[in-house]
Amino acid sequence: MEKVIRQISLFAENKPGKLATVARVLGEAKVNIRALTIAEAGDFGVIRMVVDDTQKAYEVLSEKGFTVSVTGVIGAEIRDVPGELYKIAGVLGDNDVNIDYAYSFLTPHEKAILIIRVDDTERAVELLEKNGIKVVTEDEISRI
Amino acid sequence: MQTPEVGEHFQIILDRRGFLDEIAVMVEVKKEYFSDRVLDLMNIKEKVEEALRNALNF
Repeated sequence: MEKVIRQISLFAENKPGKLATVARVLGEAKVNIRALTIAEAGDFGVIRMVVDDTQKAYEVLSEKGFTVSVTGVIGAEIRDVPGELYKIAGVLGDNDVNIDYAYSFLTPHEKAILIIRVDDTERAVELLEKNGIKVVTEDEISRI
Repeated sequence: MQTPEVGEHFQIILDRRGFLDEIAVMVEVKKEYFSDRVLDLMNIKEKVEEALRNALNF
């Protein structure tokens, strides 16, 4: 599905220098990180990120021995003004779509993109678009 | 190890805290079982802990 963005998820021990290694590997491969979040769970964590070249990120991180997976997420575009997040969260909440996790980044064009992981991705995309919320493609994220 | 989610290589770290021995077991999650959801990984951790407790009679 075109509107589903591939997110890089990787396992990391909760130790100094782990994120630095990931950042160095991606930097050397000329992969640019658009957005990143770390879910901390005691002695380990899951680094999740949206990058400009998912395939390359997956390959270089796998080669370096990281446990990596690709997860389908949604990128919903909103204006960078108060109240906009409610549009997304409201539509999904009103329709019983649960958000597993979310993180966001700003674009140079005064827009914000909310990356969302939901239980029913296709339905969420349909609902957002039906309610006038733009759902961006992976290609659009690459070209920001 | 009879837990399909983790690989065959593991590390056992023995330590002593005061009068008690402490054992830490480091395992590797298999690629096909790795998940972006922390809850899934915590469930694997609990499964391994349970299996070890049963096997070692802790």
